[in-house]
Amino acid sequence: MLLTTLLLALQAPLVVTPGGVYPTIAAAVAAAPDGGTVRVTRGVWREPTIRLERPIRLLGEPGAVLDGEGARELVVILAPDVTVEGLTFRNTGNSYHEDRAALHADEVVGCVIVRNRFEDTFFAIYLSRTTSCIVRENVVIGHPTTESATGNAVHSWGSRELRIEGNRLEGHRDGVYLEFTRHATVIDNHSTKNLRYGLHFMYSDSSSYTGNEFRGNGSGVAVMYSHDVQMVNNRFLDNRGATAYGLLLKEIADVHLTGNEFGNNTTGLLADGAERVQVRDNRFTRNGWAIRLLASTSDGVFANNTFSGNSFDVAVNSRTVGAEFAGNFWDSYRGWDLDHDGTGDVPHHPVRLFGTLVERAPAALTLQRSLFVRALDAAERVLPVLTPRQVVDNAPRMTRDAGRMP
Amino acid sequence: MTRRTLVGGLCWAMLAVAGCAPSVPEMLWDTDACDYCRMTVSDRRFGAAAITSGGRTVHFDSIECLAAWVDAQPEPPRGLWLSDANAPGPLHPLAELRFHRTAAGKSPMGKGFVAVASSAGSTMWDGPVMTWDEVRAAVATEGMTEHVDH
Repeated sequence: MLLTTLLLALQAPLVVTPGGVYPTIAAAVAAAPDGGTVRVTRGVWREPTIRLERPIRLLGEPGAVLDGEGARELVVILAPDVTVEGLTFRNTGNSYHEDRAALHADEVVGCVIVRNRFEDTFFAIYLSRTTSCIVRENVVIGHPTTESATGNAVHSWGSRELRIEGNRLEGHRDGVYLEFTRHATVIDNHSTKNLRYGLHFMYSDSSSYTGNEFRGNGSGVAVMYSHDVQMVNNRFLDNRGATAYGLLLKEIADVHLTGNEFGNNTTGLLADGAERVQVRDNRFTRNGWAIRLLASTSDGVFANNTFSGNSFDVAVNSRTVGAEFAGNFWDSYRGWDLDHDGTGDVPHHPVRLFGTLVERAPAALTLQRSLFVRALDAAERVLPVLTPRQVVDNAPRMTRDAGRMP
Repeated sequence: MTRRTLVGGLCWAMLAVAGCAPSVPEMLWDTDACDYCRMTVSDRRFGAAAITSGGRTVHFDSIECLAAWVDAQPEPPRGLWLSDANAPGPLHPLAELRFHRTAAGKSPMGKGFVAVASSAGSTMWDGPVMTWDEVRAAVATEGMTEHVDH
């Protein structure tokens, strides 16, 4: 009986209230046993950076706010199996010398960061060499001005087995930045209005991102210097501007793009130095350029995608591009299907002559809607001279609805 | 000489001067893309720019990209400018800067090179002082595509 009471007492949360047994979060954290819970009550808490050096659960009641007063990090996780839940982190201030984050996890295993809110933080969540951490259902809102720099909403440096799920990430440099990270899974996040990218891979292999929406960022996603990345069912939307794109693939290999939507981007997909890229079952709708392939791309496969309402479906900067096209729907296809097998009877060449000219002289774009350009494109279709002949879909799909390839 | 000729002559003279001396290149942060790695140039501590031998302005997200680009040029560029990591934003001529390789500041390409004003005292950027040639040599040796495990 006594033992049970004692255990219950140990397991009962340590409640942080003004004037209570634990008037500061630091006091409660210092007193908490391993595996214990510290509950922070409603109010604005201003304390020196809180260091979690034992496995505990730090839980915020609704309205519990940690305020960094523009001067410091708020919580640092230094022990395994720490959970931080339900808190609002606010106002870390900026720093050019340190990667200052509201919540920093350093060389730990099994941290869980869930249902927190971050407002006006430089970096919000910074994971440095963590293993098996989870970042779920957090809301991160920044208000960067163009003059002042900002960090990333979720930043991972050298972490492994990371899961980032269901977060809303706004107004930072990158929504999610994975650097030297392996086995990351990024699922169902909304990453919007970030200055640079919604999601950014740098030297990060063997990872995947699925079901995310990237809308109105500087550019949508950049996958750079990485291998073996799966990109499934994401939406790349509204990335407008001379240099903006939905997705950049740069110096990458062995990646799969499946079931994604590229809509209303200046460029949907830009590939430069991409090897063995499989692009299947994606929709490219109302983009300036649906796909731009630079000469350094090789062994690409583009199958069963749907292209509609794009000014240019495919543009290349060279006559030698290593990409195969098969079974795609092209709304610009002018062929026919006499045997009604659902596949066009004549091949489709998705690269327009005018697109090739614009790659060489971007200013020519002003002529886009002119009669002259239409005549050029028509002449090139009949008697191809400048457009690459190997960029051809020999079996263009006749219907828009993307069924599976037979 | 009429007044009109004088004004015209002055205009030409100004154009000639402006055209010859390379002025500090403009950087559109969060918009310009790195001419080496294509990353959007955003982190103001590490940005850099160059004017090519042909007179074109090119931009870089990091010092390592600038170094790798310089090494790939057949002709030496007309000038190089970099951000001072202690006062990020404005670009300064190469001659006014010194370099460090730091663990604390993680540069966009992960190699950790920073530039600070030569005249600055000791700063928070750790690591021994490096010359520009030493930075270039390090980047050339390590390459840009290799994964650096930190």
